[in-house]
Amino acid sequence: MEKWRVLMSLLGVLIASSLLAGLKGGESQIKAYSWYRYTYEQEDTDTKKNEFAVKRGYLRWEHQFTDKIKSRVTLDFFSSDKDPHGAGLKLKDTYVDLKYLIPEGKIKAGLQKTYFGLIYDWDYLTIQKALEDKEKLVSSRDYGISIGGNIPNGFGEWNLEIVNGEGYKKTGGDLNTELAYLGNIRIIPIPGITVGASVLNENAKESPYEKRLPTVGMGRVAYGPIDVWLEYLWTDRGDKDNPTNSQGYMVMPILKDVLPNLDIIPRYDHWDPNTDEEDDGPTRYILGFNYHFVKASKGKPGVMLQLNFERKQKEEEDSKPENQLLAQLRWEFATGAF
Amino acid sequence: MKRIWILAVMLLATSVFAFQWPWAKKREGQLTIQGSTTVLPIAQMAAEEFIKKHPNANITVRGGGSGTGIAALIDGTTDIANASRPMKTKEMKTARSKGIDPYPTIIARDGIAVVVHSSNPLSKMSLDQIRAIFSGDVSRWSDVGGKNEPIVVISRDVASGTFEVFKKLVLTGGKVRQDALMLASNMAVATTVEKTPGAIGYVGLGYISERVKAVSIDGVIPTKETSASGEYPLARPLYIYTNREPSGLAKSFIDFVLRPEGQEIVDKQGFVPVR
Repeated sequence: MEKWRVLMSLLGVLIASSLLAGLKGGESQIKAYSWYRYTYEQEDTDTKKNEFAVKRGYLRWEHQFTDKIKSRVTLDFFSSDKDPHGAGLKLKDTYVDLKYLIPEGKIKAGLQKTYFGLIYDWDYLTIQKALEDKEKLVSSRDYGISIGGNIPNGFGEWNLEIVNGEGYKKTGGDLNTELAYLGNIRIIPIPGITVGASVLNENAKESPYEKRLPTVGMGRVAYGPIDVWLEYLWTDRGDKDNPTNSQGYMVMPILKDVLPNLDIIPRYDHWDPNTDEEDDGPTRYILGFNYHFVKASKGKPGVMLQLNFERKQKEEEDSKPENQLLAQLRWEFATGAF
Repeated sequence: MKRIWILAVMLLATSVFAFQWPWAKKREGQLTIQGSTTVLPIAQMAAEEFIKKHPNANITVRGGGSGTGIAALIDGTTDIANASRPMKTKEMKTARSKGIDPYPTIIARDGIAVVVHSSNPLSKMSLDQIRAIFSGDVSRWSDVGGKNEPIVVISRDVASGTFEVFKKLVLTGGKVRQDALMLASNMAVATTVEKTPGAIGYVGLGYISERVKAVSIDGVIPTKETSASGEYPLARPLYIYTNREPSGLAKSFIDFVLRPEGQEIVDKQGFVPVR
């Protein structure tokens, strides 16, 4: 495995060097976007949170060398108590796209999206994360190499990815030595109907890493102003003698322009961390309102106010519900578009 | 069981509610057209003539470029997207995933004319020379047989279908030089070239006038005839995209554009009729 990894890295460097040699300037785009959030959280009648914070402050620099080569570097600045200065910094989407060899597709190398379920096109229409991200089934981004492309005539897309398997927050010496393999497909048989599935094969030789096989089936039904997103997730985890299974599902209908510039997004999801145990899973009910002050489109600024009410109810009979009220102002702008 | 009920009620409420809001009720007699600035003069004149025959019709025509028009069609904010290039696979995928089924109708043919300032002595160029100029390999007119003065490169911006086609046919996918002036419409390119000695740009056939000089490419002059025959190397079709096969007012308008009187407008605007 180690030899193979070294060989692949060398091959990648060789291909990239030869492709980049002799290239001219190209075009750059700088994009910034930010999420400023107010959170009020109650457990039963006790106030747990009552705070303002910058939850995301992306600064993205994209550079297009040619029609076939594009790169991106993204820094995420955010409010954090872990840092003495009250803010943290994370590296996000940092990769190069090479549109070679694969018709209607590309090779992507670097820190990139995990092409699993709904996580890779999750645009936070509710403030809450995608279910697979929230329940830590997969990380939204990971270090690796992927190939992927569009099926001709807009009939869908496919992706294959080799990643570390531990997400973008882990980069040091404690990484699992076994790489993870991901496959994803989405088919749009008729306009408005999308079905898809993804599977991530994670291996582990030793603790604390687990051998897991997270799998997801997704669906999307879009018709006029309604766009319903659905997904069903499951995974087995643990060793052969003590396997545990998790599963969950989400339904999220998006109701666009109910009033001018106002979308309403109800969402329901449920997660069962261990299917052999009863009463251990949370259920979330979300009602979201998105008001677009300025609708974002290619390279143009967008400003949106999100208002979410979220109720989390655990299955245990005597558990108290957690209620959250979130208000978030999102804005983004760019120097131009490719 | 309780969860299933919650789900069912949620979906039912959604479906009932969805079709009651004003969004779903499209106003009769309204048509929005957006997109390519190459197609814009055809669409504008056709709309004017169409309204004369259908006084109750209310047609809004906007430019913005092919990419902008296609994005608007995908977002459901326009009925018709004008495009001077075919839709990309990625755009098709996004459209289909949102329940939009893009349907193309070719309404005209066009050639992308390379234009220079009227004082420029050059009237013939090769495709290789044009590629060298727009890619940045050549920066003085004397390098391609002209005066010893700098070349000012004028290009369309990235939302433009003309830009996409030019990039594909002339630059074979490469980039336009970094110091090129990127403008938002054919008219802006034509006007800037007209006023700037040493300038070179490209526009649709409909924007050629005596105020700028259109050069021949590899010995072929950009005309309606050479574009129709395919002899001119930068010829292309012009499209109108609708969601599914056109119906209602959109169908009436497209039928009008394809009828002899509509095709006469195409001809008058300097493009090549398809019927």
